[in-house]
Amino acid sequence: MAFFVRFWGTRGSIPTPGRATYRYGGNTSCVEIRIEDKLFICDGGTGLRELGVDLLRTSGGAPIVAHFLFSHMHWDHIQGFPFFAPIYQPMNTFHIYGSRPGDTRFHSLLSGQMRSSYFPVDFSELNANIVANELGEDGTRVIDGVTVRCLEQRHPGGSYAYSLEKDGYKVVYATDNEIDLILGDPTLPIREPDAPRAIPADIVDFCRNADLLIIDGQYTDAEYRKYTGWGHNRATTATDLAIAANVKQLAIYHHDPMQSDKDVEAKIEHCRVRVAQQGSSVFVFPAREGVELRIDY
Amino acid sequence: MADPQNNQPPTAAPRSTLGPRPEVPAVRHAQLPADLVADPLAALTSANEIPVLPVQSVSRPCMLQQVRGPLAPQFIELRDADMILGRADDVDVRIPSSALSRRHMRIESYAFGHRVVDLDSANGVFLNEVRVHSAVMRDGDVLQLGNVVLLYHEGR
Ligand SMILES: [Zn+2]
Ligand SMILES: [Zn+2]
Repeated sequence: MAFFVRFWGTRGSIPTPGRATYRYGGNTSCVEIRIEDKLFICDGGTGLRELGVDLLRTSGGAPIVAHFLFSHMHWDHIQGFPFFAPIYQPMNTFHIYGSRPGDTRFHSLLSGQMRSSYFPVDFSELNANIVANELGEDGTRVIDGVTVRCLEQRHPGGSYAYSLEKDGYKVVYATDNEIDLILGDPTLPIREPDAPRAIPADIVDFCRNADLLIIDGQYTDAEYRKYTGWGHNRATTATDLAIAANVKQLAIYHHDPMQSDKDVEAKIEHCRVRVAQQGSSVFVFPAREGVELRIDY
Repeated sequence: MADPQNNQPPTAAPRSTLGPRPEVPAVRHAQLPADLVADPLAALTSANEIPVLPVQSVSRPCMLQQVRGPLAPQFIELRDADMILGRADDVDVRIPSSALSRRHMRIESYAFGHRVVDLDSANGVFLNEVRVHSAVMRDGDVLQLGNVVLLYHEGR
């Protein structure tokens, strides 16, 4: 048994095609997580369009069933949904999860972006079976044998992180959060930039012992000074979380649209220096469009 | 928005006429292949005669450049079809290293390049230090398979 995790979009905020983002990609948030034959899709940014093309190619006409876990409904997390071709085929089923029983906000907001002023096809005309589903009272549910949990995050308008666990393996998807606003000692990063930051315990617990943590690490420390309150982490703070939670691999995700490939690499190098300074063995790397990881090594 | 009553482009200049255009240097030779520049333009007697030359695109195949491991250094040309790399006798790209699995990696021809897939190899496929199951390749990527190191050169 293995988890297969494939990045279809790794950019934050807005698609950024072009030479500057050639290596890490310009499509916005979308990650495919496949556990045996169960398919989970974390966010539906513009990367989702190509995932749809791939699913049609590989399914060979068989029905497609997928569980959508949306972090939130900002554009860069939903824009690919109307262009996800499998939603136009009647034999396919897609579950859109809310954070708890009765929470159908994501299902209704997704249909909102397809109203006629925004998009030519109405949500009600989609041929696939699109089900408003939900996690349990405590934000947890076993879906097709996979334990899925959610955690509310700090982001304008709110957002959720998800963890997926099965047979002792664990992957966490946590994008669009600003842990930097809720640190235990908020001025420490200014006074002592290299000192480990005090991450709230519930976040550390949520990520504890993950084989892979995919996390919003949009900003460098210098950028964050300008964008405090915009809802995104310093990559260095994401690194401290991974160290504190004993994570194996850390994928820095939701790259800032202003960052070129070189900028992304410099940001990761900074995180790696931090890991070494703290004597940790967390492996930090940049989430990259078109890369698929296998979690069971 | 387009106005169906008036869809003429405003003050469109006629294109590609070879009439007099004295002030504008029409063709820049510097970046053209030598054979395009040499013959037809050499005999020009005046700027009025400059012809618009057909563009020949220069194509180059995708390559893996092996820089470490047995058989290195070598260039491996990638075809527009799937190829298997490993140490077995019957694979498309055979590299006799004991650190490779018999069928180690598949190289798939992709719309505008290649994608590599680890075939459950013992020592894995590392792309720029990250152990990957599969990846779409980008120019300049470094692949490591056991003691074999390959650089990817995108074609055009
Ligand atoms: Zn976002
Ligand atoms: Zn957001």
